[in-house]
Amino acid sequence: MATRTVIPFGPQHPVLPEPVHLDLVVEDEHVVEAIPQIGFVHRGLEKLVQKRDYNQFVYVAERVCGICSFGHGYGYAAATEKLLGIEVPRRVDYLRAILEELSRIHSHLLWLGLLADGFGFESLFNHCWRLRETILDIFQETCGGRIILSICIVGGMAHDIEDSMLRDVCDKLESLRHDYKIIVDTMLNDSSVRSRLCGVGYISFEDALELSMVGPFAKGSGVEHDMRTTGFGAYGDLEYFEPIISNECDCYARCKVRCEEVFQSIDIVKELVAKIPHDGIGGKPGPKVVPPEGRAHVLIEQPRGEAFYYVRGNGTKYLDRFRLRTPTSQNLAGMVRALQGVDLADVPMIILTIDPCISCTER
Amino acid sequence: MYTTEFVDIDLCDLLTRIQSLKHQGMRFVQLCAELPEGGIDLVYTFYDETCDNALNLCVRVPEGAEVPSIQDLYFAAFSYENEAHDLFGVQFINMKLDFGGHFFELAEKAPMTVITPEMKAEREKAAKLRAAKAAKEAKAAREAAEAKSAERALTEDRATADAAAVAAVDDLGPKAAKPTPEERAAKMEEKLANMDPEKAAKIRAALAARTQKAGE
Repeated sequence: MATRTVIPFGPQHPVLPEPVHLDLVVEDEHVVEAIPQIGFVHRGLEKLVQKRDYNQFVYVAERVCGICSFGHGYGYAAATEKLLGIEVPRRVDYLRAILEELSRIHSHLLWLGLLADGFGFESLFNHCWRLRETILDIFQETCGGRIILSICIVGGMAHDIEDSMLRDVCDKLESLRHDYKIIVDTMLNDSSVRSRLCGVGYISFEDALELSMVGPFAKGSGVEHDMRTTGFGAYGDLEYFEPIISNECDCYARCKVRCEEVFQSIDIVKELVAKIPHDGIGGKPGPKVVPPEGRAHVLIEQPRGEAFYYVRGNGTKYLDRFRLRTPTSQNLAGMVRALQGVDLADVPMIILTIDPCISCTER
Repeated sequence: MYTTEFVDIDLCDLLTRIQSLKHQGMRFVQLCAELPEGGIDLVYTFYDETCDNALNLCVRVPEGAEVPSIQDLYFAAFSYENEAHDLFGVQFINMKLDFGGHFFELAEKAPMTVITPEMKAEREKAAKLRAAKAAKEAKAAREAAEAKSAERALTEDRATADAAAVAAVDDLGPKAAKPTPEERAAKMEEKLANMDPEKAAKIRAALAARTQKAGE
């Protein structure tokens, strides 16, 4: 019988931009068990909901993560609006969906750069992050901020985005599509990429369902779950939407899903910009409006998968509870399963293709 | 758009209920603990893909009670159970993956059970407002009841007075207003006796003629 050794992986590791620790139990370079450990930078942001009133907290929610920043503000605002019984104008739904899709493009470009860097393709990393700059520039022009947008408020949007600006966004995205296609074709058709990703980190369709996995991690195993199909917000007005899935169930499938999601997001933005209504951008509820006693939650599709936002009101301006369940929390069980039985050398690639966001998880 | 449902269940029914949801093929979404006034609640969320319904099972955890782990049914719950243990001090039993209170590196035990001064002040303020509102409503209800009873008493007094007056009238009235024919005849005879005899004879004749006519 081979000797079992426990190899610590992280929280500081070249492929991990954020701190997560894994105890890898290995036998002859094969991982037989992986035990995750997080909590190194837990910030207790959910607790802050008892110190900031429900209007102020949207700014805290945005600061949970620098990549999914807009989505967290959106999710919190939508949950609070549901609790308050506020129906926002359709233009607000459209603007939020457009910014959410831009965030998805931003997130996937950032991820692809990190994956390329993990492979040692430094020039590919540079190109991915160069393209990501296009999205950050769009954010700066339309919202004023590059990472923390502060445009989403409870009851609507802090300010409008002009139609001419939105048309410029479409033009920039069309240019980005061209450059991105070259990068994706290079990446996905490269023989070394294929040899390191194909058949590695296998998670079957049944396991993906069993472990309640979400996002591109699950879609890479053929699970068609995507909250955008439920038609929340402006997604219900899309002429056609089908989640992108792949049935290979390995690391390569997960990469392919993310790469194709960028093209899909560009199409969604263009369609929404063409259809955007002009019925106002809503505004903050009056000073005497307080969340009633009760509970509400929303589920939205973040770049890494379904995210859950829950609020509980108690009749005061402070909420009793805000709960954010990030896609990464949900995918931890899948990550543990994907690492079982793999070669030790494949662990970094598997973790990169799962794309964990520890910042969100350590809210 | 998906629908949302909140269902309150007892802690003793938790495992059975979740087993049945697993059997129905529902997807586990999350578990969160919360601290409303008077105890800890656990909210388990499940999602039904077939009808796009999010079902939330809300369980009140009595102080010191142990909660059965659902990791055997849904392994994805391990991070949430360890989180609820570390942040809220909820005790789970039969956990498959138990970090023994070290899932998060925390400076203090169960930090989420500490109520912030802001929240405490706001809760006290809300409780005072609720009490004041209740007292105001009770006072208004009491005053309304008093006014009603006073009005009823007044109405009853009036009715009693009226009844007494009617009774008094009834006592006196019938004899004065409606004398019997014999009394009327005796009174007439008395009047006729004091009259001029010639005139009295004429009246007697007229009365006799009228009586005869009435009899016909």
